[in-house]
Amino acid sequence: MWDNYLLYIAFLGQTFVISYYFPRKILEKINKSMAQHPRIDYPKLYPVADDVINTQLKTFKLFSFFVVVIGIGILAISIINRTEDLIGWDDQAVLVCFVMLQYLPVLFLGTQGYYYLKLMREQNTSEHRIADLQPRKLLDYVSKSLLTTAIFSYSFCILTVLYFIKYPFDGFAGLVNILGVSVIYAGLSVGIYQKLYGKKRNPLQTSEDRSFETTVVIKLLVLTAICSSFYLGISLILASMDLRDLGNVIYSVYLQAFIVYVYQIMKFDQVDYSVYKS
Amino acid sequence: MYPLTSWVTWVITKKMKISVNIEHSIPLFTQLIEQIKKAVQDDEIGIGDPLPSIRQLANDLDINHKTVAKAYRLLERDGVIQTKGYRGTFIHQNAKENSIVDLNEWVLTELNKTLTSFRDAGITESEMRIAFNNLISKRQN
Repeated sequence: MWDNYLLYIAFLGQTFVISYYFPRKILEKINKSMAQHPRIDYPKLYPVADDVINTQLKTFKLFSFFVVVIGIGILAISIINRTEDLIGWDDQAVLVCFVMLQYLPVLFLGTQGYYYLKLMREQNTSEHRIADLQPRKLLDYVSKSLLTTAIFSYSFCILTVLYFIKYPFDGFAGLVNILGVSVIYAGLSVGIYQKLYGKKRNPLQTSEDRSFETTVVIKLLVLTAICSSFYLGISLILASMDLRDLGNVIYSVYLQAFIVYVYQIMKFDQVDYSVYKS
Repeated sequence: MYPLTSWVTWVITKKMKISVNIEHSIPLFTQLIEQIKKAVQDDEIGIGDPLPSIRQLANDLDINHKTVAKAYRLLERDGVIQTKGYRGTFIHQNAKENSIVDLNEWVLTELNKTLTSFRDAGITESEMRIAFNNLISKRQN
């Protein structure tokens, strides 16, 4: 039963950190940035009308609020019905589905941001285009130690799977685990490549800001790779020891820690806003 | 006193930039060539310094990859840059001397010398034109 209580606490934390704390902080940052850089002084920062921006921010807020309600609902049903697993379903499946739901508002905000940048490019009438005459290299943005950790964690995961192929436990999925982690690594590698050599999305962004953004995004992608492979390896070990529930708790706490870290490294105040002046 | 850390940051972040004017009458590849040659002459980039890949530069400037490829090809022909396979593109060791040479000017001077010697030999301009055109089309075939 103790593991159920642990999971409830972790799930409650996950609901609040990802769907309440994080969206609130993001909105605070956006509103602060908009207040400090009003449309009248920084017209190029606003490719759409204020009403549109406010509606989208409200949608994001509302969307996140609904996810919190759903999270509390899941918890309430599980506690009231005293179910063995969350809402009587598989804990891991509920956690994964709920995380996907939690990321939908963030995805919505990201899509809007992408659309704004597209409009910025369309509205950009400047005839001059500037670029750095230096090649960008992965090691300029991420440390060797972090990359080595990513390779090490991937190897750890693969070796763990190979070990359990030789000594399987009940419910072990086998080689699919290797395929899964490899697909994640491949996807993240494409993301890193795009960030390094892809098109400049924001036409007004200074090279220093772009460099900072690239560093943040690449670091996050590498960290995601490390976390996913380590998590998979650890969860397999826990599952073999019949501690699946503990694995779910770790998964939940892992996500919360990751989100807090993401928030810590997101810094809008270092951006050079002068490029958005008329 | 100006803090040392700020100076170090300035040195690290000081990057050579390249810019193009997409509305200018000078072709984009010529703008790129001229700026890279000028940067070499002004010691803003030195021998052996790496240049961005064609894809990176084209994406950053939001211009066609073929434009950058053409500029790089002509700079390589002029001995200003050299491509070292997968390792990338670098400033040539004789880039400074080579970037001063105006290949078009050199071609005109050499042609002028040849034409003068032909004229001295009594060859008419129409004969020279026919011979020159024949030679060009023969080489193209």
